[in-house]
Amino acid sequence: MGRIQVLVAAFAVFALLAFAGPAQSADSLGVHNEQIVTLKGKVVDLACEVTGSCASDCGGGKRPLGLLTEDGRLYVAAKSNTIFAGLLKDIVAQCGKTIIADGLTTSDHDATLLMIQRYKTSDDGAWVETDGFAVDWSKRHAVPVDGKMTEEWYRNDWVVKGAVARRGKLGEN
Amino acid sequence: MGRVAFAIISLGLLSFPQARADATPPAGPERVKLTGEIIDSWCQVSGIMGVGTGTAHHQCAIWCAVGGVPIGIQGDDGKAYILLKDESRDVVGDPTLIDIQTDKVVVDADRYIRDGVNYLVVRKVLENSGVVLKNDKDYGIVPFGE
Repeated sequence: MGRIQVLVAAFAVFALLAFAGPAQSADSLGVHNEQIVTLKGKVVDLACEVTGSCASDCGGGKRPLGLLTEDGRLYVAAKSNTIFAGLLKDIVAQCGKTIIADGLTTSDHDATLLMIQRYKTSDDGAWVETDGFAVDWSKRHAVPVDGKMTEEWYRNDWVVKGAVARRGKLGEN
Repeated sequence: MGRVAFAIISLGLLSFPQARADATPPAGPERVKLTGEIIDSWCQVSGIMGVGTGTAHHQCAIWCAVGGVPIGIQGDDGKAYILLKDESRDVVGDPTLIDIQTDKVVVDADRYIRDGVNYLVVRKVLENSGVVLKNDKDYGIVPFGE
């Protein structure tokens, strides 16, 4: 291999190492227009960020949350690892702080949503799985987090039971 | 330059990450009268359940609303809107919104657009026609069929 070819090969290796991006480990779900992502951004109150109407502590769990990345793009923080649950219990405590999030985006109907599967609060911090809803639900109901009751929280939750009782499973009542 | 070097350079260039869409400035508010179905945004946008609207998905929409997944409106214009406020109330866990999942509504709202996503601050629900899309005969109850 000649001298120029060695230089070219060295550049290519540098490019691979420098621009391949951070390691990503989110699981694919095969959802619409899925993109596996690792994002660094600030946890924000969506209503505050979009409309300017703000509440303390990002609404304390009563308002949808977003992730505002360093390039100014706003993502709707929609889904956690817990089945049928969002991210409020996972990241509302990080309101106004920067996190690094592993997850995926899905896009359709002129909307893009973000699922965060795990996050950490600093580059060298420990990853935290987004199972905050299940952990909180199990504590509120005094049942094991890894038990059947929590696994099927959506069948056992009294708010769900009340809504289904009023309208029926099909919503036709 | 040899073929090997050319291939290596090409590989190096291909390793650059894809450019993401640029952040776009916010737009709105625009006062709108919108007709659509109250949805759980995740199932509708992701398509993870196959069907994310109508009687077939009503119970699942309740589960997601209680679970804190952002609630939205699937507009008759084909766009999914994310709800930020409903008649001055915060939306997460709001019992009124949980009870009207899957209903067809007409709303008077302020629409905002940010980074290609449509957001609504609902001033007033003008009409509620209940569940209009009767698709459980086609799909059963989604998911789990019960």
